[in-house]
Amino acid sequence: MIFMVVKDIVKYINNEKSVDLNSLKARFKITDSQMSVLIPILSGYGINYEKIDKVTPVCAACPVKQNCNMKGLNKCGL
Amino acid sequence: MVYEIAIIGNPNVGKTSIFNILTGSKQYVANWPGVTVEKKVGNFSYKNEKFKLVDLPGIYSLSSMSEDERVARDFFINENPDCIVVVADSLNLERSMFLALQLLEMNLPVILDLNSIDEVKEKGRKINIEYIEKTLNIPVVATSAKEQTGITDLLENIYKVSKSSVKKTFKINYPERIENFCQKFSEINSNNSKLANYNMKWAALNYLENNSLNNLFDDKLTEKINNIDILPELKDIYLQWKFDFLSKLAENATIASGRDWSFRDLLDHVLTHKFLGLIIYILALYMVFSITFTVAAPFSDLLDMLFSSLGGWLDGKIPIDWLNSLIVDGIIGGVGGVLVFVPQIFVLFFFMGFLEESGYLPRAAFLVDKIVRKFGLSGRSFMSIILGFGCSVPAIMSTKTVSNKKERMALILSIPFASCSARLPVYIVLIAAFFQNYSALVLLSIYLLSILMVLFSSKLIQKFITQTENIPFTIELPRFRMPGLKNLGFYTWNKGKHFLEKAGTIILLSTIVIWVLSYFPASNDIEHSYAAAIGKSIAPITSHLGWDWKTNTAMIFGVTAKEVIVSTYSTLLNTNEGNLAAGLSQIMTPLSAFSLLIFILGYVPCFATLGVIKSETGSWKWAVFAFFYTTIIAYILANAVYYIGGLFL
Ligand SMILES: Nc1nc2c(ncn2[C@@H]2O[C@H](COP(=O)(O)OP(=O)(O)OP(=O)(O)O)[C@@H](O)[C@H]2O)c(=O)[nH]1
Ligand SMILES: [Mg+2]
Repeated sequence: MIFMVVKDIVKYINNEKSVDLNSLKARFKITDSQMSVLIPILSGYGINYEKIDKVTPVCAACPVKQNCNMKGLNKCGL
Repeated sequence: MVYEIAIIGNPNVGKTSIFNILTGSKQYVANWPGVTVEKKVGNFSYKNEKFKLVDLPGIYSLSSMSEDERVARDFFINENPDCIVVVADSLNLERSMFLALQLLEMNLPVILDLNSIDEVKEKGRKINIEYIEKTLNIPVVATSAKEQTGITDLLENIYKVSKSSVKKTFKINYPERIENFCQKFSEINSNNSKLANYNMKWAALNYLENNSLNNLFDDKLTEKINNIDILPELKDIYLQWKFDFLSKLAENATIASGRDWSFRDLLDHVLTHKFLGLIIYILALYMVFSITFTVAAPFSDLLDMLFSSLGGWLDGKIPIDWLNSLIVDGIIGGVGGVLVFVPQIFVLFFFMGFLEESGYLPRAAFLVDKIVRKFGLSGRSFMSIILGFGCSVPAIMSTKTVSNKKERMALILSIPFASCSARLPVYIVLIAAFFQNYSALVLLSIYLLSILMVLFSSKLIQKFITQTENIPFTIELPRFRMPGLKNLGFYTWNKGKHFLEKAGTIILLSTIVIWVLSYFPASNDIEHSYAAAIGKSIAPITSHLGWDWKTNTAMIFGVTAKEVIVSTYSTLLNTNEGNLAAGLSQIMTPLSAFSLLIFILGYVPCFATLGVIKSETGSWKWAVFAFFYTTIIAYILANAVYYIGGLFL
């Protein structure tokens, strides 16, 4: 594990206007499970859900999406 | 002695479901976060000991400054419960662990309850309970509120923890710098009497994390504490430690399986589709309305027959004239006329229950989030609007979790426009009388119009509130769940029961009053009764819409409860439901009836709603405002519909 990842994430979020969970996950290479741990920890830094868009990344995390070839159907609204 | 047990945990993990099982109560359970908005208390006994159980609203942590989390924290500190059950979602353990750890740091007697264990099994996963137990050094139980498993285990542990006189102390090794800080912190504060109620180590850690207890330290102490170490650095170390500790715990606790998506995900994929999702949603609503007419109607007719034959059989058997009329025309005709809608009301609530229990409601909310933002609302608020289709009272109460004050105010004052179940009987009667051929369609359009009215009203009200905050939408999507029949049964009965209670109280009372007014002073000339006088008094503002005094009187008494409109019509037209349609079609034209429908949709919230508006806004002023505001808007719309409709018909 990268040391002090929490601090870096906080810095990153504070510099952005709003952050979405997926880019955060990709940028810091954290798993879904780590993300879940992280969210309440961030509140200790005054970062609440408003700043992080949509707590559950429905569309991008959707396991069907990768397997769905129907173009018209693959339009997640969330 | 009564032991006090508290249930706490993240939103939507099944706290209330567990509470209901333990206490045998039937508190509101649904599949979206934020259902429980006020703490609920219940009792149970186990092995001859008495326990008082408190169900708290869901929270994510105890450290943020938000109101509900502060309330929960104070509860633990002041009430000092004998045992705390932290309910966690077994499929999302890591999310719950933070809160559990915070409670442990406060050195409270905690039991960890891994709920929804049935879903873990269904996914082919396993949870290593012993590992969690050893790491945290607390009792851990796995339960399923759905299948009612693990409950005895939970009870046994509650019993043991409450009875044991030596409370377990939570022992965990923090990084050295943190330990040092805690040590020095307690030395500095050893004489601080304000901290007497708090666990010293927790107070130290809280000081590091966000210092939400800051009013407990005077300037001198603060300065001393701040000199112990470089605090921002310590904070980073502390929270990073938490992250590592909890990540590791979560990682090792669940043994995952290979399969990564299921039928539910597929459902989610289709139902959350940008356009398809919305279309399916509207179709589903349409279906519900068709069913209220097709499936429920025969039962309704049956009840109607029952009441009419009861009335027919009784009629003339009572020697006293006025009493005969009161019972037959007033009570059986009026209250019976409302009761025949029991099947429709129950069907509506059954589907509302399905919507809430399956997890569809918050998905619909997400889908419309972008649209409703144009009206200054968020998808979260949209959920409250849909809840208003059941009843305005819980819908208004559910706005407690809307954090934006301006949005919340607009919502509270606009939700009365959401067409509640009490209005359903009135619609059905009017639709049966005038729009028989397109019944489901007319009903659907009324509901869609009702949503539009709420939206535009919110927009309007927000124009007058000068305060800008952005609108966060923080709801977490629950999993799709196939609602259990038992749960749905509970839900339907819980909500439908309310309708029956009203029939026995306020509707009965209003009916008697109406009967008295229609019978006196001239018992066989209703045109000269008091009821007629009341109705005629507002004729100048309604006659151009084609509403006669009977309609006026029905509207006036409908203020107590909307169903009373139906019972009033029944009494005044002196018919029961079957002929009510025929009677109604005599006294107005379809266009008048349609504008009446619109008026009923909007005008005056019922007494119960006015009461809850008062309690949620904290002032009668707003209840009075809502009274006039809704009526004026409804009147304007009814006129508009009448005149614009008149151009086409
Ligand atoms: N499959 C399954 N579903 C459950 C279980 N326990 C609760 N549920 C469902 O989970 C949803 C949430 O349950 P609630 O009891 O309302 O949850 P809560 O924690 O009180 O939620 P809030 O009051 O919103 O914080 C409901 O749809 C329940 O039917 C369980 O053990 N298994
Ligand atoms: Mg609850």
